[in-house]
Amino acid sequence: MSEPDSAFARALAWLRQTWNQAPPTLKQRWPWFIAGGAVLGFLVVIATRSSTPEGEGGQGPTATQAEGRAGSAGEGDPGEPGSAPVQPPLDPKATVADAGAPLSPNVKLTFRTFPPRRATVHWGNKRLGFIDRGKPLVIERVRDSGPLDVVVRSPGYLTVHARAYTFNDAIVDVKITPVEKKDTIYGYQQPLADAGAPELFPIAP
Amino acid sequence: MFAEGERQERWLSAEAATAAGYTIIDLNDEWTPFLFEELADPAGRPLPNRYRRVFIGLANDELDGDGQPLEPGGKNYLEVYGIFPSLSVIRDRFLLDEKRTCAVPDDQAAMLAQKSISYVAPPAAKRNAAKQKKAFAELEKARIAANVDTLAALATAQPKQAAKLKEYERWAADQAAIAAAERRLICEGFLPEPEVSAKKKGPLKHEPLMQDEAMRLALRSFQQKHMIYDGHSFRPRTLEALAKPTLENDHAALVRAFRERVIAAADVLEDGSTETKKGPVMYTSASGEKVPLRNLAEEYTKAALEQLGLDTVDGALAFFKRHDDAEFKHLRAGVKLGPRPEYYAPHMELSIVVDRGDVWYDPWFDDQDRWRYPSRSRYPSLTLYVEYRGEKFPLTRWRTTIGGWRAEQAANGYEYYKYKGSDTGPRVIRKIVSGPVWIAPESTPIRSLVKSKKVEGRWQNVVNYDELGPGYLSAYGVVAGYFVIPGQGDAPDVDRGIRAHGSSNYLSIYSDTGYSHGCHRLPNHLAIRLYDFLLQHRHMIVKGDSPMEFSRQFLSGDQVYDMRIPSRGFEFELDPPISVSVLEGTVRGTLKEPVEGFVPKPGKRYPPPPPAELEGETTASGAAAVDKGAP
Repeated sequence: MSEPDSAFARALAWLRQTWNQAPPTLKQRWPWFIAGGAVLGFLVVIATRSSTPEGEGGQGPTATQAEGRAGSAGEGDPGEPGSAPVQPPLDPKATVADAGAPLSPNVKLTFRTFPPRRATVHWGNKRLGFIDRGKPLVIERVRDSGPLDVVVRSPGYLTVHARAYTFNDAIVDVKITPVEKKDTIYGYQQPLADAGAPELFPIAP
Repeated sequence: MFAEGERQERWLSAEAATAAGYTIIDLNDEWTPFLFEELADPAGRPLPNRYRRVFIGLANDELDGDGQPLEPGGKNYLEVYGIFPSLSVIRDRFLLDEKRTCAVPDDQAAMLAQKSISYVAPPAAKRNAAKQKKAFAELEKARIAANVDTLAALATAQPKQAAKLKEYERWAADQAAIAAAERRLICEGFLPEPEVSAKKKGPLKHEPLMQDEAMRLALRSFQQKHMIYDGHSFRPRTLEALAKPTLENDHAALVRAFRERVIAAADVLEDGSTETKKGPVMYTSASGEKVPLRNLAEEYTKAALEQLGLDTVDGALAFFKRHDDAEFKHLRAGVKLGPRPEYYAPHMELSIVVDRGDVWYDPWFDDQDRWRYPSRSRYPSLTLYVEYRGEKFPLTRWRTTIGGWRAEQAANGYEYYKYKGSDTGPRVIRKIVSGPVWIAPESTPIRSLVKSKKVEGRWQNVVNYDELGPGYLSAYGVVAGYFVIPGQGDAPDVDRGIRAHGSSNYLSIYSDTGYSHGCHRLPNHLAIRLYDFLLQHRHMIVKGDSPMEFSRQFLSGDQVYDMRIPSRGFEFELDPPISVSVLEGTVRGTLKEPVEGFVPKPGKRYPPPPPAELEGETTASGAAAVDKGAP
């Protein structure tokens, strides 16, 4: 007998022995166990898919690639607070028109906050939706239909006014700053030392 | 495609028209200057220009400056900003105004009787009205007592009443002209009917005969519709246009819009701006004769208008009745224009000279904080020269700007004054950008970077992208040429942040006290003409959209604004570059060198210590980081 045949014979012998030692319940109701295993496996696959960002809104391949590029730029796990850079760069590829390929009529805009926090995104009177930890807000707009000026609000953080362009699929990473750290943002006006006494500098020339 | 000769329209193919010596004028509603045309790379792949769609939408009253749909019935009056209405828009004006002249003879006379009307704020105007009514009552009383028939007779009989009567008559004439102007503005839809206005609240409520905010806005729209570069009050050109029948003004708008298309079709620039009191510039022809420089813009426009029968109001109205809106989706016209001058060639020896004119380095206020605007007798100019057979002569000479004292924001969040100069010496323009974006340096006052905008039914604050671009209101206008010091050998060019660019701030170009942050501004339509011409008559490379990744946050109030710029604009490269010379001009005043650093604003309190320079900030001589130039 050849070697493969010997292995096959050994495997059959092992299965026969295992079946003989199995509990009587399993022997009687084995179809139910197989069906239950299949359902459990299906649920595990669904749960795994829905926990990834690209599950939100059912983005196509372009959005998935954009996520991958942004992630590879060193952003770390979006679910881990503090692992994100202070000012994530825009992805230039997300904004370059692909002149050679036929363009889809719509673009996908992905809104995220850094650090990842729950936030609402408003466009004028309209609430576009929520950003949640690890779950960006993804919306579709007609390509080249003009920009979206949105307001991003997160409890405990300063409100941010941001813009999303519709030339291409784009990821809008919005840096949010705790209210108590507003003095770290450019444009913060330091208070006058003494509000009462005039402290004029002489004119230089 | 159709061609017309001697006012007879006939249809021809483009090839046949060109072969027969016609110049083809594009009457299409989707016409743009060359800078915004659909272009392709050498492999034939399209190079999309992000601003093209917006440019066309603005010209057709379809989109706003952000490229979003205009509100129903909304109008873009953007000629002063370099975007002329499409022929369909002008056609609609003709057909509407055929039914309404908005010109009443008595009103026309009342407005033309006044050269201009001084601005008087509403409270003062009300006090003056009460005073003049009282004066009139006193004059009438005196007239009856003197037993004369008219007030003029009273003034003759009692000379001491003459001054009072003269003042009253001047006021009454102003009031008559304002009332006439109100009726005109209501007729054209710039002011609401009095009963509607009475129900309004806030700044848009107009009180009869008052030069209030509603009137100012109405005048501004009227001026913009008719391309009148004036302050928003009753200035001479404004009154003159208000007195004209609407169709006459429509015809003037047609001529202006048509002129830009003729200039683009013929690839010419000469507009008579180099003429002096002595007449046109003369140059030497190949045969050795002295030949006057022609005003090709006017010559060709006039010829084209005449051949198409558009040179009169009636002719234009008939033309628009013959051709409906649908035809302006594809219509082009062939016209016969005289040959261009002999100095024209595919690659012309062109150069630019910027003369700074009178230059003042002194601050605009003295040590007592009193304002003292410097007076200039010579204003800055930008001149395009051509060299032909060893002779250099100017084709155009336009007013422009140089830098001056400007408000700048320091790192401590406070605004100071700083001298923003225009540096001098030899430069080149290698890069031309259509739909350019200006990246505001951190020294830009925050107040200018936020604006209020109606978004999806709600007013909200947004980053003022109007100022950044791309757009007609951008600090760089709709097109910019980048001045650089050419690198020697393998060294890169040195960019000190100075550009010659279009600008929506036309008053800064034409007013006595107008200055820039160092750049040389041109009205947008002239900047378009200039750079279109350079690109058509110099060897150049179409580079296409120039993507970038730029974002910056800033604080205004207690809210954060996230500034994002995805593109620098659409780039062209001149190869070889065009030479530019910026002349020193005449330095006047006490200071002979620009002041470095921040200077506190008069009367304003500041925290110590004095602030340091900011990243990306231009120096007094105009130096700046790349792409953060000084508009």
